[in-house]
Amino acid sequence: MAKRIIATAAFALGSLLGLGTASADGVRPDACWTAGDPCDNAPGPGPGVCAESTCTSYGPIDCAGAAGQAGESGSGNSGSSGVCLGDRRYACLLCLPGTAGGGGSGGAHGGGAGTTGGGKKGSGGANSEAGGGAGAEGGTEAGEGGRAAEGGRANARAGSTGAVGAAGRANGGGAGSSGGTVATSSQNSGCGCRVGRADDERSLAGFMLFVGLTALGVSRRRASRARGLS
Amino acid sequence: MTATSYVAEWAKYFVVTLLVEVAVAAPLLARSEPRWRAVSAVAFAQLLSHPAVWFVLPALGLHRGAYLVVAESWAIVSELVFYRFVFERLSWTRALGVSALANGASLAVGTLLG
Repeated sequence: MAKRIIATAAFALGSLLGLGTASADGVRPDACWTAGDPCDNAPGPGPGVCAESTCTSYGPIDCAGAAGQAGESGSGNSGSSGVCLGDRRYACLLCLPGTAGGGGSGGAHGGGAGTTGGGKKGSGGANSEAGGGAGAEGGTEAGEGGRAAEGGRANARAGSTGAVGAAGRANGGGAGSSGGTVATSSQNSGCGCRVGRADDERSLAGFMLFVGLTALGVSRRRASRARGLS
Repeated sequence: MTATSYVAEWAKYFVVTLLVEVAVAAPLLARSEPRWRAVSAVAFAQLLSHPAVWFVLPALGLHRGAYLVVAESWAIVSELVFYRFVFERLSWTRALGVSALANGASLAVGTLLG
């Protein structure tokens, strides 16, 4: 009797939940799987935007940082990849930001390069009399030697593209070529959106409830038969 | 979202899953066993299945539909095996029924909350 009550309650619960999700037209209220939808619940800085290429997948997704863009005569390091996590049932794709690209190397003549945020020092130019990297806001190391030229401004916020560091001004030597790189972090837009179709989960949940009730029913019949035989 | 907040998110849904599955599975298991033993077994079964679903299986890189099937299959199978080993008198069929019913209910509730 108790088993029958539980089974009935479970069936009623499943039906109720099915109806509840169906009434939402198979769409979670906070779902945003359409490309371009704003996604206010996105993690990371600022609201996100759903990008279909990322939001439609469920597991880990590729959100590698783009390579750092070289300065005029410098070369940039690439940003490291972001890390994506996808959770189980709620289709929430998360991207952790990658690190910023490194600073560019200095130009061939003149002063050092401005580095962008997160980057390391820009190395001095080959023929630099007053070598040296620029002091960079957010940079980890200043350039060696020379006076710090006007620094590149860092812009290494996750999810946004860093600005090109301003050229370091040469103190002596030839004209400073602009070094610095575009610091890139992971492509975070499109990550963090909740995305999913509740009807998939509703169908699966219904199937699991059906399997469970059927198995319990079979088990019960077997037990009754065994009791009858004994 | 940081990794820390992801863990916090997992913890929240772990509690939800735990409550739902205890409510569904424990009464079914407690028919032949003491209630405290049934509740404990269900709680331990969640520790076995739930973290893997959140932290291990996503690394497989499956698409959402396939991921759902794999994750729920893992949850059902791991828990039914656990129940079967803990409760000697429990048949495989009944263990399957309890596990599938409990996981179906927690998935349905999670769908509503998500």
